[in-house]
Amino acid sequence: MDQTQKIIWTNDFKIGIDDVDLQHEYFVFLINRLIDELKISDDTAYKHRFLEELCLYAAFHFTSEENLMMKTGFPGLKAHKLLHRYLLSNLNDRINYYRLSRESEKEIIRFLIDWFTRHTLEEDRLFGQFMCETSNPKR
Amino acid sequence: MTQTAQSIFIISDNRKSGLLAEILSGQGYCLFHASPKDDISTLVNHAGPDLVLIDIERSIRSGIKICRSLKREKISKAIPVIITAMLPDLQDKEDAFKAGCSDFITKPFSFAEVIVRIKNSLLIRKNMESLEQVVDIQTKQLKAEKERFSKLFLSSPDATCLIRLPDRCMIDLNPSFEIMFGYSKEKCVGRGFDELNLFADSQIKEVMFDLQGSQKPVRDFEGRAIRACGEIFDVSVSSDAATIDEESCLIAIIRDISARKASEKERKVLEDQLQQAHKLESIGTLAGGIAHDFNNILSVIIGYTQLAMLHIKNDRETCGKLEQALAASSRAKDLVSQILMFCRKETRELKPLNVQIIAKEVLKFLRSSFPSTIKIKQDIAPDCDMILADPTQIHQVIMNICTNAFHAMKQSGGTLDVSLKQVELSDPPAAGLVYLKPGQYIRIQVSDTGSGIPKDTLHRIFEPYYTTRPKGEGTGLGLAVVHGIVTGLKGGITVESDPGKKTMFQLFFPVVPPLEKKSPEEILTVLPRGNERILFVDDDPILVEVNQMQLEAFGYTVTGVSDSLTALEFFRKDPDGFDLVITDMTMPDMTGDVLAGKILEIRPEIPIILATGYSEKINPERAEAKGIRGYLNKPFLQRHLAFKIRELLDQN
Repeated sequence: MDQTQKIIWTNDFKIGIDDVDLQHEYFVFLINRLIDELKISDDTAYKHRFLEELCLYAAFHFTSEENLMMKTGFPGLKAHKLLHRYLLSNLNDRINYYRLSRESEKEIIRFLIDWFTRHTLEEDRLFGQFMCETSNPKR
Repeated sequence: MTQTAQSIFIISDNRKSGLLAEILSGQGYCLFHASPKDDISTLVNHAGPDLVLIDIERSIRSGIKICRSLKREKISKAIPVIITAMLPDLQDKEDAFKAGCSDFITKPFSFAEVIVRIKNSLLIRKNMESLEQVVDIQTKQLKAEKERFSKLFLSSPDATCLIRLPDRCMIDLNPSFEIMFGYSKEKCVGRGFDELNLFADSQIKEVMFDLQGSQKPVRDFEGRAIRACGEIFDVSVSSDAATIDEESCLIAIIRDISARKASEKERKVLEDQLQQAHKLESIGTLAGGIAHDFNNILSVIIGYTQLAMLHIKNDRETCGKLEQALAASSRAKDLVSQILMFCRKETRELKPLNVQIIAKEVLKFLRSSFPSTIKIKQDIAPDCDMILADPTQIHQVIMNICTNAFHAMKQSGGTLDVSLKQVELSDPPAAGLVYLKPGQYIRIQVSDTGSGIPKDTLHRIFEPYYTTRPKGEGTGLGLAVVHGIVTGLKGGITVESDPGKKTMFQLFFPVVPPLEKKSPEEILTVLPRGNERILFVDDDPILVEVNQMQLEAFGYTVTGVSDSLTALEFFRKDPDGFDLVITDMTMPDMTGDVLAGKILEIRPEIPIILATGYSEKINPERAEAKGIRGYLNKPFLQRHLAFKIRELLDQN
């Protein structure tokens, strides 16, 4: 199995909240771009900065998602926040490891793909269901 | 010097962040790890780290809480805390800094960033510590120095004050200042130095504040100062400029030297007195020597004048002229005897006497001879002890002083005040009486309200021939004689004069010690006695009789002869009939020393006592050279004779 295989965005990834789905789609786009950039470029500084861009987008997305959860009174917010922090911390560590050449590009990509598929498809979907149940009548 | 590795205490729930730890230990830090669930406070206090790093993913709040509790405890208070967090709220950051954390690192971060931040916090902490240490040491040193100087300032016996130069305002002063000048600190501080009238000599202030001009500190400038009560005293002022609290100031140190000045003055007076005494003594010695020669010359003049008068008995006119010469000679003789009295060369018999009786006699006489313009006041204590003196000398002393007083008041009139009292002289004696031993004295105080004696001549009045009176009115010997007599009696004399107002003489005579006050009978009983045979020779038959009686009373067998030739005959007839010979020196036909020589030719070992008045021809040394073993100055006291007789007889 090719470990650097890109994610192909499908409607199955959608959790039913437009804002979140949009960000998720863009995150997939970023991961796919990372796969390309890492392959194409041999500019280490650029690679580091691109990882940073991805990391910052993740942080932006998490904050955005948490704010929405806060606004809608999602009961799983606390647990979800922890998860976000764990993920981000992990990514942060990995980037630092990568910069010290102690982590490979493949490992980072595998972590990102794994993160996206599991987190988005499993954890975020709970929020989508909650939104669906509570906000549909309001919307 | 090996430095101990700095230690970092990491509190983390992120089991995977081993890399940060690894990198930190690679930087040489010593690391401690703990989980948020541990007893952080105890662990931190036990480890005593240089920095605490809180990296709790699970909850930023719990990290802030830990930080707050660490900052609350005394031991961990100073340890810097760094908190790392992901996706922190602005509120979280605010709270973290409020809790006392020194740095807040937001993820995503780079490891290098964390290391630098840790380094910075550690550096700040280290610098703070060393700064605190330096401040601590300097504070201690400053405190010690301040204490030392304030002690010096506060306990200095010299009045010390600090004056601000531009406006001369008193800034500070020490307790000695308050005591010396009598102004309280509260009253002086804040006031202008010139408002306090501290110095009697304006020059002191000029010198004190002239520092800018001379650029030199003032040292021991002497002058007079004024206390709050108005008393003026001597001070020595030192001052120097100093910059205190960025203000130009003057430090003034004022020393009270009044005690030193007083003792200096006293010493000067004593020195003057001593010098005066030496001067009088040497004048006395000189005058005495001249007087004796002069006396001899006078004897020749008188003798030959008398002889000449015998030759020209019938030439009444020439006789009359010679009589004038004779009268002048006898006046000269009187003068000589006065000089001798001053020189204390004349031996007089001293006996215990009551001065008050003599004083009363003199005053009685003066009352009748003074004009009515001069009043006499007297205050004579009746029950004084006796003094050892010659009554005629005492008479002369009081007379001389009172006569002087009369002369001072002759023109204007006034009051003569004479008091006599027994006083105790303490040790050390009052000024002017340096030579007197402490003890009981009779004090005669004579004061007049006459013209007084000017200060510049006061010290000369006891000199012989010093007089202010017109020629012919005084000999200039009066006070010199008084001085000679008084000091000869181991007494003292002082004079004080306020020109134009009054003059006061004080005479002091030592009272007779109790032992000497025994009655003559008592003295006789304790005098040595004997039963030997004595040949007594004197040309004065009365003296022969008196002494014979006296010696017989002592138990001796006495042969008295009033003629030296007869005496020699007596001795030649029975040389072994006598154990001792007493002979007068001055005798017609054969003098005492010649008689003694002839007797010694007959019996060389016989003891002989030669009695003599003041004589140039013979003295103890010369007598001894001739083999005369005993020598007595006339007039002699009976007890002197009694002791001398035994002394010689007991030698045999």
